[in-house]
Amino acid sequence: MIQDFLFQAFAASAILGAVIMVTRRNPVSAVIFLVGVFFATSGMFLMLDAHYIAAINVILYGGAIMVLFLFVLMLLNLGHADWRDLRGPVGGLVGGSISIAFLGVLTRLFVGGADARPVVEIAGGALREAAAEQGVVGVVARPLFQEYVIVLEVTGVLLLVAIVGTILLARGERT
Amino acid sequence: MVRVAPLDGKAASHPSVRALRERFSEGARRVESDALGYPVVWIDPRINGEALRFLREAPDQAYDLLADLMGAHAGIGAPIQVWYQLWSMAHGRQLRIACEVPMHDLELDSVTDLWLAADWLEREVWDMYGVSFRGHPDLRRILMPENYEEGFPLRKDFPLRGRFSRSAQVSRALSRDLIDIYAVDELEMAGYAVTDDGGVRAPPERAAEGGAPGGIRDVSPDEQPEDALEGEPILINMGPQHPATHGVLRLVLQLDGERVVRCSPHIGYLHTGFEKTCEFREWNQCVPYTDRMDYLAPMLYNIGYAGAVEALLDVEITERCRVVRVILGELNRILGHLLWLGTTAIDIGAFSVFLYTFQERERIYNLHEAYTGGRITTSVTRVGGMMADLPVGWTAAARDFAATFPETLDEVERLLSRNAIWQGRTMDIGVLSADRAVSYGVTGPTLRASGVAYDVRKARPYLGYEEYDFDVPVGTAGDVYDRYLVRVEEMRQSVRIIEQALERLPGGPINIDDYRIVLPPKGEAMGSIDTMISHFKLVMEGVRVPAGETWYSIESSKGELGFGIVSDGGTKPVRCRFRGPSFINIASLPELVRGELVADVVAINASLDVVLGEIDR
Amino acid sequence: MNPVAGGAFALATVGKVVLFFTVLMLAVMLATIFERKVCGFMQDRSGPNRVGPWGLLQVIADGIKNLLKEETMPEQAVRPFFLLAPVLAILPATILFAVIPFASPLPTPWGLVEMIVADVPIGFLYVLAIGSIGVYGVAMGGWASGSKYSLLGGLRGSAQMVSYEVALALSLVPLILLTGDVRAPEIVSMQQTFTAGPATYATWFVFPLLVGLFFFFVSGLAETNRLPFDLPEAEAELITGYHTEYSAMKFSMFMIGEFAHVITVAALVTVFFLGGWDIPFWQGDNIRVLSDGTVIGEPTWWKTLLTLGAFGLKTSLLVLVFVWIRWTLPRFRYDQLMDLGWKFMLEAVTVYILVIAFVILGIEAVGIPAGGWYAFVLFLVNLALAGALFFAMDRGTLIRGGAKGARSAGGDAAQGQGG
Repeated sequence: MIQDFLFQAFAASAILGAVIMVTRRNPVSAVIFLVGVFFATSGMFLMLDAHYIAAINVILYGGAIMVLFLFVLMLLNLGHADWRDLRGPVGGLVGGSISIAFLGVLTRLFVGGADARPVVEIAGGALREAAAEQGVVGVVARPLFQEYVIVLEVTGVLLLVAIVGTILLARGERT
Repeated sequence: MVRVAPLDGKAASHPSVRALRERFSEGARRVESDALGYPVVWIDPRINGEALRFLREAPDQAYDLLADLMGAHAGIGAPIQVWYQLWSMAHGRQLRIACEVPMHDLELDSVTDLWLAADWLEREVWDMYGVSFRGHPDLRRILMPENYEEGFPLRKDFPLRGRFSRSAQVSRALSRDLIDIYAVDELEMAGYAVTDDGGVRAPPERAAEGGAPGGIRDVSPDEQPEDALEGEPILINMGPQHPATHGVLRLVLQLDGERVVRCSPHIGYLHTGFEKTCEFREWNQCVPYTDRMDYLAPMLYNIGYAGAVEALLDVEITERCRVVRVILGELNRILGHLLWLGTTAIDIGAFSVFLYTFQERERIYNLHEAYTGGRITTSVTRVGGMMADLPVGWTAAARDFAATFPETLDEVERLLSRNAIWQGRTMDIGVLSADRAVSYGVTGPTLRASGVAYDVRKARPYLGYEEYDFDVPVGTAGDVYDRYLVRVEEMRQSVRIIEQALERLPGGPINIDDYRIVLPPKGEAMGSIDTMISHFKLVMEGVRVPAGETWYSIESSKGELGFGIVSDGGTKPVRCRFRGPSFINIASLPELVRGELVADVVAINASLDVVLGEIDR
Repeated sequence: MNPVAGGAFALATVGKVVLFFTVLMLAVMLATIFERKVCGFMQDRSGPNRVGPWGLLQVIADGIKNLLKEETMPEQAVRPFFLLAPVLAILPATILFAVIPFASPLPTPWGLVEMIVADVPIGFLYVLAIGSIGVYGVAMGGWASGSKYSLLGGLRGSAQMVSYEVALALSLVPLILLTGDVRAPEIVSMQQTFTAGPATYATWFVFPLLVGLFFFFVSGLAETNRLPFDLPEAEAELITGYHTEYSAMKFSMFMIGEFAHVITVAALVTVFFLGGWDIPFWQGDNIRVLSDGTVIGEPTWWKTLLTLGAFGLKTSLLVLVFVWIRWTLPRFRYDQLMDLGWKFMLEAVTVYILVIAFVILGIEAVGIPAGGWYAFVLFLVNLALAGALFFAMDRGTLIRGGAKGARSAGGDAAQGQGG
């Protein structure tokens, strides 16, 4: 019962944080609220016994990526509140329609029939059993490094290319 | 045709004087001799630029060090004198060029293109006397506020209490006009354009906010420059209240990230007008002012000032006094270097070193206290001698200090000299080449770290320094690390000198026996009418110093400490100029920190060893 | 005796939380006075000695002073974040302690109580996760203060902590290679000797993972923002950086956070490398709770107390090392720090992981079972690596001064010139 309550509390704060984040004018505030959202989702993962995902979510998103966001915002002194992302009625229209479409998909997921449900179904407690058997890291590590090792490596190469490309673009013609 | 005065023997033999005579026969019409004996050539103010260029650039002249550039004013209505005190490293020659600038045409050629040191020195002469320099790139007030409009303080028609309009100051303080609040270069750094008539034009982005005059249209996002991603440079105020500026120095830094794009030092927060005040004090009454300038090594100032006045008086102090002054001077050199070492270490993060050095400083302060009763404001010298003879047991205490002090130095060196972080923070940081250093007029350990073995104690020995056996440490790279090594080694050499001086300290009187200069002992003054009259005259009027002028210098802990003194034969100086080495050394800071990081600014500023009391005077 | 369960477990946990938070705060107080006393000793002075016996009550006086002082708030500060930052500075350091086992299990009438607040299955991942959010206190404090010095401090802090987090995490990978488990109590057990149950290494990991300890400790220093890595608050340049604008209790909270962080890192080093609460040369204290609930060894209440003492002693000694380093070394420059983190530590740790992995592979191929000999081979490898590492870290090769000027290598700069 406590677990249900906690899950719902985390879920509610995640949604609330996301809404606040989107409506902030100040980019730094937005980043901070986004971090809050990550923590709330990590809490939800914990409630689902996905300890590893919860920890990685905080380490990578909360502890590294968002810090870099914050860093860049502070470094470039972009914390001015007067820039708006959505400019003009066209921007508003596009943004609004995307939101409505997404809301429609979500509604169909929850309200629609069995065919609308996600394909992967995991029995309750399956994760906990697997974790007890292989340890929390093993549950994720084994499929990652055995079944999907090629996909993983390809993704790694892709990211490396992206990093090199970013550096090239950022250095520009200055050198 | 102006009559060319005949030369006396000593000045005539000076090759520069002859060369000047040959080249500028009419311009260099008057040649005098300084109280110390070196020649003073008075040249026509219209040819000062030409003459100085000749002295700087001709190979057999090569006066590469502009030791001082100062003004003097003999009285209301008299022309302003401008002195150029020169020294040639190659030939080891001293020379003074002086100009008399008439009040109706206060203009000289700037020599900033010959010596970088002239930049700040000319600004000071402009600030204090209103002499303007043709071709000076940035002739602004330097010690007084930039917008000070009430005259030129060191002119004789300027009253001692100053011309100070409180209503004008208040209205400026409350003004919304940017030029009244900020310095010109500060506004430039922030992107404002300052027009010749004193108007200020705002940068485009500020103007768009409507905050400043001169509304310029908004910049649309499409028009943003390509490097918009690089962000705006940060303008940061380091000081006047900042732990690492070692006093009320203010550095306006323009930063790109943490890298310094431009640095503009602002001084004058501690400007007290010592030079003006001294013109209203008797010769001996000036002594307490001297130790308030370099309060980190006060006795060096006392000794230098007394030496300068004694040069004008042309008296020989007693042997005992000379040796005592050497001991005190070297003790204070250690005192100054120790403070430098401690505070620099603290700036670079090594806190413990600071406390080690301060314990040793305490021991020197105890010696001060035992002798003078004061620890910082010592006022130890008098014209013709010292305030008193050394107290009983003082030499033993000094000997004990000299014997044990090097241990602490060894400890500090063990902590720092081969420490990788210390080396990483100091090596190749703030590099000053030998040529630039001499051109900037930088002296003292900072110059020697750049590889120039110029030490006044060796170049023009005073107080019998030629009789002592000591070495002058010289660096090779001219970076912060070398300045550290040089100062540490100088402390060791000072210990050597102190030991030798203590060894040879003779007995006998400490003061000269001329009762026109030093106070007679109380017992004698009550016993004979002659002595009593001398006593009375000295107390009521003060020492009379014969008319003349001198520019006398000693090696202080921070560099060449010069005293430019003019007497008209009265009991008070007509001009009392203090050439604080810090003032000239700090002028090289903007060049040294350009392109370095904020953390290096702290290290470099510390490595120059400045004391603001001496800069602002 | 079985571990406690149900209501007793909940009660025991609440008790441990309350007890532990109190102990941690007391330890922070003691750490501040300890630091000042040690620093006084190192600097040949007395340190605080006016309030109470040996100045011990100085911390209380300071606490009262900070509570009663005026709280200032700069006009340009962003209020909510300005208030939030000290909380975020203190929070991670305190909740990190939840996964640190600090004594051998305590037998009670209701079952065996493990002396760890929360034995979460993700163990040291939790440490990394919580450690990584410590940066927000610094970054937010710097940004929200509305001061350029604070902003620079915040910038430096976030860049530094993110950089060294990578090395911190990687330096623990060899440890995981050895233990095969991320739970902290399991890591402690692995360093003890048992006659029954799964194989252990019978020696503290400081020996088989000497170099790993070095990397972890250096990264830990950087994470806690202590000298020589105290750039975010560099007194001389940034006037204490991100907390320049803070006063009174808010400032105190930053300080408490820093000291709590120091204690936490010291405790982590103890657990990961110094055998946790293990008492050396005595096997009586070796008690292990397996995941299925079986208990190896004989827990008693006095063993709990003894091991608690051992844990406290080891942690205090490590705190002493922190203090010692702080009052000895100068401070890095920002770019040197980043270079050290990205261009040296990261590569070196990666190479170290590879070497250890291959050595482990080799040892297992040879057929040495987990235990003393296994650890001994690793120790020899580590000694060789340490030699190579410290040779590489010799002065002049790793930390460079400015780019300007070519200082000839070697040559002694100050040379006497005879007069």
